[in-house]
Order: sequence, then structure tokens, then C-alpha cells
Amino acid sequence: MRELGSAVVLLAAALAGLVEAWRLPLGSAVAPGPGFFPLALAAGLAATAALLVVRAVARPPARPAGPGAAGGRARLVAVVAALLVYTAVFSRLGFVLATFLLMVVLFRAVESLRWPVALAAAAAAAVLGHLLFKTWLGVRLPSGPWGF
Amino acid sequence: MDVFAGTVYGFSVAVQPANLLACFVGVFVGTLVGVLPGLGPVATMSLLLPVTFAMSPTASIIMMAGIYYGAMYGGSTTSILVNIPGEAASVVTCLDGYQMARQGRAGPALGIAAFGSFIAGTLGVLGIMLLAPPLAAAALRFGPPEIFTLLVLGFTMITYLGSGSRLKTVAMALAGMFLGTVGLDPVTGTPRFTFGTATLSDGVGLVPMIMGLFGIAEVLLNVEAGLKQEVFQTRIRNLLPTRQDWKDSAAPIARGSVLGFVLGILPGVGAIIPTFVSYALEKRLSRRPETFGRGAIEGVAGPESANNAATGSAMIPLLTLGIAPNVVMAVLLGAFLIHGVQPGPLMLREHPDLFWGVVASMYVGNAMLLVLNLPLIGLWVQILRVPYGLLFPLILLICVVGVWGVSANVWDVVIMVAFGVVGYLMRKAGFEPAPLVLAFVLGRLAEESIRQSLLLSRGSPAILVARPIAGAFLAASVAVIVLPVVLPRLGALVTALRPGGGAGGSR
Repeated sequence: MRELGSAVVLLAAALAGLVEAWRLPLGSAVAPGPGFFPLALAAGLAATAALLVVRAVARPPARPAGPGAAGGRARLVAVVAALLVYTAVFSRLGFVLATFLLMVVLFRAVESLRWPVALAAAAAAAVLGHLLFKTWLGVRLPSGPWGF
Repeated sequence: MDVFAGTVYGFSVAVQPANLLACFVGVFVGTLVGVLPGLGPVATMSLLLPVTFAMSPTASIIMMAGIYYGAMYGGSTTSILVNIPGEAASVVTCLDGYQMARQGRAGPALGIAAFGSFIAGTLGVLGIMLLAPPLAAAALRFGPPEIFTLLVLGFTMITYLGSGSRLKTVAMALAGMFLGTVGLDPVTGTPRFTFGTATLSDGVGLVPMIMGLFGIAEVLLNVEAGLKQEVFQTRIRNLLPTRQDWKDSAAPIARGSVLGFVLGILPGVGAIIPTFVSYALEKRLSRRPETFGRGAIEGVAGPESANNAATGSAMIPLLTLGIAPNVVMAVLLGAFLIHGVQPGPLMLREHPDLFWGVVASMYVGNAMLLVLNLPLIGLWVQILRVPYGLLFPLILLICVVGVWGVSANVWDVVIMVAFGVVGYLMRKAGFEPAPLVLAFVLGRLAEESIRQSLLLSRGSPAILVARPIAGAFLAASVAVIVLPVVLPRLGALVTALRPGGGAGGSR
């Protein structure tokens, strides 16, 4: 299932690339234009993906490695969601506050550290991150309305 | 400047306090990320790219290179003590290193890994000094056709890069090259696949892609699996290998060094493949192959030497041709370009301080690493005891800040997270990220050089064969594809024809 699924997704992506590449000026084999190589690469990828689909159908692999624990999948989704929310509010809340909140969520929700430990570690990470990256290394991290 | 004068000059550059400090920071951070599973040299170097804005070009490159070869030392520690590769090039070290640790021989395993790395690392640097100047001189005559055919050779090598399915590796390489075409066309400037966005008109960023595929994806895999690090609970003693250990390891170290150096110089190989080849070779040559996988010191000495020699020789194509032969070198290339230095045949003449200084610093760095990894090994063991639940949020934070630091563009962070998810799914389905990233980097260059070649020859592809160096590269690419198919059959044919042959054990 995993083999087949990944091959089909790859094939779909290659076909989408093929359609997009088709709109660019193609040129010719001896004087290729902007669309020539993307089109050739997408076609090659589509062919390879098609072979992978055929192989997955013809030779379904023996039962793949056991499924991750249900808790594992939930942790995974939580981490990705937390990162995306962090990215969205990062500029508005400023680095220190946003980072503090992200760290609390990750420490609590994913690894369930105890509250005092999680809060202290998150505060330390946010403040030390600010000092290390912004003050010392000079990364242009955003400040919130309160100046940090 | 001849090699001797160059070396003396290089050391005079490398021992300047700022460069010495950069070297120490590089090898220290390198060892650290090598020890920590889930944060490798690629992600770390990308992360520190913006930091180098404030440093001199020489100090920046010294630090970046230090992270790379430092990680090779650190990776073996985790492999031996925890049975998790701290870094991809020390996967093979787990096989026998961990078994040695279980038998109470963690000390000699760590010791021989460090000494083997040191010997191979210094031999590798010596190789750069001897080979780079003549190669740079030869490379002055390279034009677009030579560059293109060399890249073709690199692409054929990439298909051996994966440890899994060849077809999947090819698919990843094609996908990587396709992603490389995003952005403005290199010849005409036509926007391609940008969907009208400013973020994509510069192409997909290398840093967000690397941080996503290598940093974030690794964290996601570990978080899902609930990574438990069980550090081997013994006191580490007898770090100095015994005379018998040395006797067993001397030849594997020598062979591993040569093998790593020769393979590492080829585009598309990197530091991982030589370790597998070295392990297989030592097992084949051993009089006691049955001990492999049960704590054979040769199985640690050979591969650990091979990966360090390969890190040295991988610098050669970058320094002499300006071509990144592996993903790490692609990041290093980025560091050069940030400082307005174009690595390539002219660099030796235009920036001798940079070339000789960096090479000499690698001697110094290898000596520092020997100290960091033998007397100070306890420090790294302590770091391995930090629980992952505390560590992974920090790794994620470092990834976000690293990407933000390069462009200050929120969309690049989003791209990184997207690549993180894609990388996680790829790993789950048995696709590897390294061929994708390398093809991404080389693909842009390949398209540019073939189109320039065709402009040069007014559309005749014969230019790729007619020029001798280019023709030789093409022939080599064909050989790389054909030989592995033909050779075993040829061997089987010979065995079958030999009287009384069959399951031959004779050499």
C-alpha cells in the first residue's frame, strides 16, 4: 500500500509538472528553450513513477514494518501544526513570546514534561535563543509590539 | 607558489587567532552535531551560513569545513555507544562498534575510530595539497562542454548513492533536477513554475530544502517512533588501542583512507558510500570474516577512516572546479558565494590565503579533534544522556531560525516545513533525500552548461564528444553504467569455464 501510494503520488506530481512545463516555450533539441529541460525531466519522472507503480502492483512487498503507535501519529501532527502556527504568528508576536509558546506546546503536548519543567525550559529557550541568535549572531528576528 | 611554500603560507594563515578560533568552533560544533542524532553537518552548516556574514571569508570556510569533518568524528561516538548513527556516514560503524561496546571494549572502539579518522583525515589533507594545484591548472581549460559531461558522470554516480531501490534513487534525482528548474531561466530569464510569487522567482531555496528534508524530517521520524536513547552504561576505559588492536587495524585504516579518498573525489559519491565499500572490502579480505558483525575492530577502523578521507577529497572538485560533488559541498559553495568568492580554477591564484589557509586549518582541526574525542570523550557521553523530549524542540527552533536568518521570509519557513513533511513521507516509503538535493544543485548547473555548449557549437551536440576531456568524461559515465552489469557476468562466465570451477573459493 505504501509502495503503491507513494508511486501514485509521484506520478501525479510528475504529470502536473508535465502540464505546467508544456506552457513554456519549448525551443528545439539543438536550441532548447526554457521549457525543454523541465518537460524532459517531468517526462522522465513520469516514466520512472509509472514503472514504480507497475512494480508495486506486480510485486506487493511483504508486510512493511509495523505501523507506528497511534500516539506517534498524533504527536507527529501536533508538531507540524505547532510549527505552522508558530510561523503564522512569529512576526506579529515577536520572537521571544512566540518561541516561548511554541516550546511550551512542544514540551507539554508532545513529550509531556511536568508543567514547572516545561515552563522553565521554554522560558530559558526563548530568552537564550534571543540572546544567542539576535544579540550575538545578529539574525534579524522580528520584535513584537512590545519591543522583543 | 609550490606545494611547500603554499603549505608554510597556509599554516601562517591558519594559526592567526581569529582563524584558529573559527577552526576550534567548527570542529567543536561539528563533533556536537555528529554526536546528536537528528542534526547532521548539512543542516548545521546551512544554519550557520548567515552567521558567517560577519566573519572573514577564510575564517568562515575554515569553520564550515571544520563542522563537516568534525561531524565524522562525533558520529562514530553515538554509533558505538548507542547503536544509532549520530550522522549518516557512521551507519556502518554501528555494526561492529556497538558489539565491541557490548563486550566491554567501547574504549578501544572509540579510540581506533578517533585514530583512524585522524590518520585518514591528515592523509586526505595531504592529498588535497598534492592534487588540487595540478587539477586547478587543468581545469582552467574547462568550458561548458567539459562541465556538462563531468556533471553527467556525477549523475550516473548518484544512482549508486541510494542504499535502497535504484529506481527510487533515479526518481529522486529526476525530481531534484526538476525542482532545480524552478525560478528564472538561466539563459533567457523567463520565469518558470513561479506562479507569480517573488519567493519562487529565485528558485526553491537550498537552505529551506535541506533543513526540511534533513532536519525537520528526521525530528518527525524520531518523534513518531518515540526515540529512546539508551547510552551504554559502562565506564569507558582503555581508550588507547592495544598493540594487537593496532596490528589488526593498521591495514584497514590504510585501505580505508585510500578508498575513501579516491571515491570521495568523484562527484555524487559523498562520505557514506566509501564506508559501505570499505566494510565489504575488509570483510572480504579478513581471515576471520565470521567475526564481522560481532565486534571486529577492522569493521570500525576501515569505514571510519574511509569517511574522513572522503571528506577531504570531496573538497577537491569544489576548490578546483567550483562543482559541489555532494550535498555538504553544495552548502560550502553557498558559503563561498556569500563572500563573493567563486571557487574554481582561478581561486588558487586569486585567493591563495583562502585556499592554503583552509587546507592547513584542516591539519590543525584534525589535531584538535583527536584531543576533543579522546581525553574529552566523557563530555559527549553526557550530551547523549540529554532526553530527546528536551532536545527536539530546540532542534526545530534552530531549523526555523536558520532558515529565517538567510532570507527573513516567512514563506521560506513554510517551504521548509513542507519539505519536512515530504521528507518524512519519503523516508517512510523508502525514498532517500540525498540524491534529490544533490541533483537539485547539479541540475541547474547542468542545464546552464549544456545550453551554453549548444550555443557555442551552434546547435551541434558533437561538441560533447569532439573535445577530448569532455569525451573522456562521457566514456567514463558509460563505463559506470555498463561495467557493474557486465563484470559479474564476466566473472561468472570465467568461473563456469574454469575446470572444476563452481562455488569457487580460490582467488
